[in-house]
Amino acid sequence: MRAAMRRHAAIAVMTALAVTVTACGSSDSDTSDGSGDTYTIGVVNSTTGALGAVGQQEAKGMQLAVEEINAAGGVKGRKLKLEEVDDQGSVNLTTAGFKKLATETKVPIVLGPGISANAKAVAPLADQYGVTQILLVAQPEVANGTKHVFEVPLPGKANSEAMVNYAKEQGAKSAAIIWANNPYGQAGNTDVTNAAKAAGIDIVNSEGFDPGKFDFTAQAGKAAAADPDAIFLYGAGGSSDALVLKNVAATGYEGLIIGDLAYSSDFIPETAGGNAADKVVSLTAVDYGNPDEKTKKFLDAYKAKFGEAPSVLSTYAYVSVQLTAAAIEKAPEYTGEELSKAIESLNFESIVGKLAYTPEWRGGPNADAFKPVTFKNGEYAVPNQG
Amino acid sequence: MPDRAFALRAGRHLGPTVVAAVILLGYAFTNPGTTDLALGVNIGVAAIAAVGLTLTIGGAGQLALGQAGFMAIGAYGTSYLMLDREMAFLPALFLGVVLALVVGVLVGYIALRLHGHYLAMATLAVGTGIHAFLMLPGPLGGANGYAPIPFPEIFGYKLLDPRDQYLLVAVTLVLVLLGSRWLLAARMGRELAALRDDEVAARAVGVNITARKVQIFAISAAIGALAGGVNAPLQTAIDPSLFSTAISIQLFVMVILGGLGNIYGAVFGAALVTWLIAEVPGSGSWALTVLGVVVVVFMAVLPDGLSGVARIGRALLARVARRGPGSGATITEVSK
Repeated sequence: MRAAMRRHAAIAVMTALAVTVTACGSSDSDTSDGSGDTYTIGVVNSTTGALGAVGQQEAKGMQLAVEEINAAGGVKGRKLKLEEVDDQGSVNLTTAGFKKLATETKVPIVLGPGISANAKAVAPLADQYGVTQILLVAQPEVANGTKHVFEVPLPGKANSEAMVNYAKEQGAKSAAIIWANNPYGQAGNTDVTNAAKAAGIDIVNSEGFDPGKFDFTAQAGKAAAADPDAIFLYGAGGSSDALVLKNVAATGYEGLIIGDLAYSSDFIPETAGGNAADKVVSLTAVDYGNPDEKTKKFLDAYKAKFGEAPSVLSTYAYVSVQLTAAAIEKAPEYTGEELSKAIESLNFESIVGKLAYTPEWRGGPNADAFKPVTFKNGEYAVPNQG
Repeated sequence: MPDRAFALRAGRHLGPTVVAAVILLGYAFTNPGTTDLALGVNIGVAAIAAVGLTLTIGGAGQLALGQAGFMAIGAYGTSYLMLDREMAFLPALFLGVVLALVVGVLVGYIALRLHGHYLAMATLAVGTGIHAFLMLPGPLGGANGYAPIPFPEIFGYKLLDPRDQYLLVAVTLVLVLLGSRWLLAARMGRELAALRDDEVAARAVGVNITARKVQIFAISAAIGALAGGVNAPLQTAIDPSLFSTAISIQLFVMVILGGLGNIYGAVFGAALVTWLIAEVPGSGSWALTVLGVVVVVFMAVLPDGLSGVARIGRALLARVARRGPGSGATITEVSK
């Protein structure tokens, strides 16, 4: 019996020690982030996991922005440096990662995450720890009402409104919607349906699709069979979006095909095929078809560095770093409190529109900032407005 | 003598958990950093769920692979009651656990007719089904997640401080260890062991197989729900990805690494897996790669899991003791 006692006691001690040792893996250190020759900016991102593609695109945008700013002399004579935490798409790791950046690395500002639930989990922490946070989600309701949280992306709801407005301008009276069954697509489905109802457009069919699959003929067939004036596509930001478009085009549907901003990705023509890509009009935050000087400079720099056109997600991340740099420039001190005040007062003109924040509104630009874009022979083009 | 026997039994049951409790709770007062406490919360939550799973897999020999689904029931149940019904944390948690208990009973009845791989597939399907249900757009937020869940408040005290949050999880883990240890040492535990080793023989000696299977599935589900229900308000947001099939498999790996049937080993396994996933440099993909290698190495070198380390250590000590001239035992006799 004593042996049994000793055995269990030994196991218990080892168990507890293991927890202790693992928990002692890192300890709070007095890392300074605003002294010396750099400004350290925290990043909570999902570069791996089921939605890793989202974080990888965002990481590229941030990297380019930091390189450009540092090459131009930095901010107030100091270089910018990103301290990145990969939350793997898990809420548990998002909150842990944020706390690490806020208390161990001691950064006064954190960029990201770009996934809905993860953003919702860290927004309260930003206020709790007095850290400025720039989220990369398109849901202003997450940031509105907070003290230190801001968003760059144009609200998803505004994207939906822009899609519906475009359909109405083209004379659509009825529409079908095919949406990705993920956070982004589900929200899009709800928003497009509500916006269509408000605009007097009858939604005659609604089909969800799993972004992990490859064949969407069933969804495309049902949408086309309902014979709507327009088919709205709300994608997942991956290759499945292009395959949905390909399947819709393959039904022989001749009406309007209107995509969310995911349909402005540069891989759409290659994956969906030229004919299908030429049929879709995407309402997007980046004016790929008719870029102004600033946008063109960004598009060219991105393509030169990464060999591809930037996605909208990359662009948002790029803008978030630019916004941060502008805030550091304006703020008298590198603290969360001062950076938040600076961001709110900046009215920052970015390549995705004006970022005008108030104590009540912390979302990105409105529906007017979306631009219609299509493809011609695999290249971005301005759609025929007729 | 009966008093001494009782004391020995109580010590055997309580001793290891008391030691674990002292270290787990004491750690919170060693001035750990916020990052360490956040990792401690994640380890603790995983450990609670893994201990629950250990009772089913190791205690009763029932291969269950849907534990994340029960965590989801606890997490969403507690969160829904707190956010939508404005219920206090503890009653909401209690009801979330009860809901999982009921579902666990149903799964237990399914388990009556299934064994081995078939049972594994059925429980996996239950977990996957719950995950798929949570993905649907609706009042629980679908894939967008459910938030903002209020921070837990106990008797008017809001758990905002990372140390308080860690203590909540640590206390819950200690209580779960205590209950599980008692359960395994009691008559039920012995009957479960009989069921695990030979179901026909267990039935022959009078073990109520139906009752025991249903009970253990329900208890395991309830503990899983407890883990989810405690964690959700600490994170303030949850989404279905926290309760995917991959998480169920990770919990299974924790149980395997800890050593089947050993609840303290399950805590070890949870600590190892959670730490690896959080701390392996590079990114999450590397962590899972390393975890895969760790599992293979464990199966080859330590088939009994981390709890086997203690056994190996004791065997080595015994060998050293046997080799010693005269040995301590003789000296003890002389000293008497």
